[in-house]
Amino acid sequence: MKSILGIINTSPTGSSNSHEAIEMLMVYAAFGFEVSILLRGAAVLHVQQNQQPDIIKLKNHSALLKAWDLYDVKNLFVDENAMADYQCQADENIHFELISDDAITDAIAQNSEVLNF
Amino acid sequence: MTARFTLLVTAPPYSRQGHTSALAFARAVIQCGHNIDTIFFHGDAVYVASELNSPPTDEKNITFEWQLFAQKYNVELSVCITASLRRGICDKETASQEQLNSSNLAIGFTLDGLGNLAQATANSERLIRFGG
Repeated sequence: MKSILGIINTSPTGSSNSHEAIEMLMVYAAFGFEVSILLRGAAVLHVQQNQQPDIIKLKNHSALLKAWDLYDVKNLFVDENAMADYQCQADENIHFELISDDAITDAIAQNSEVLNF
Repeated sequence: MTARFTLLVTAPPYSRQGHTSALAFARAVIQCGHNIDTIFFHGDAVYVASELNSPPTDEKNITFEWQLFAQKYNVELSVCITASLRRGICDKETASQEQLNSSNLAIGFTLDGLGNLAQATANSERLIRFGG
């Protein structure tokens, strides 16, 4: 079966891009694809603790990521440099792997499909 | 050797370049002797499937361009149903189910689940996304 690396670059708020990307990647996982998700740039804010998107009338899309392993997603990677850039304090209920630039290069090379959102 | 492509378009049709690039790429794929089974529209790209799109006559009608392409080369134009309903794109059957007063899905497009994209990807050698 094919493997897909979904790279998400945008913040959880401000556009529906990351929400619709996560929805799509979870469907790929449900259809038996080996799915890895990588959060880069402002997308690292998906793992920020104490988010209250309901204040701006948004659904909490990061909640989907808390259960990513239940959706048969294989890996949730977070760019370690972006975590530092955004001074992100991670939610301890979201399990992810911090990865370096070199590891990102490897992940891109190892997956048969790469979708950049 | 010929390859089978699935195209995923997520760009909005009239404010970004993505659809025009996808159309050019799709024509090149066919000209080079490869195959395209499915073109899947997701996110803001679904706006292209409204039959109410009426750009000025001296501008390209992208909805019409996709319809022509799909008919000529027997390609499926598949539109994400969830993304469509969020944005007011609806076929007759769904309008009836959702108790909406009207429908506006352009001829040649079909509303499908994301599972259709997953199936198309599984059956293709290449998945190409047009997001910008």
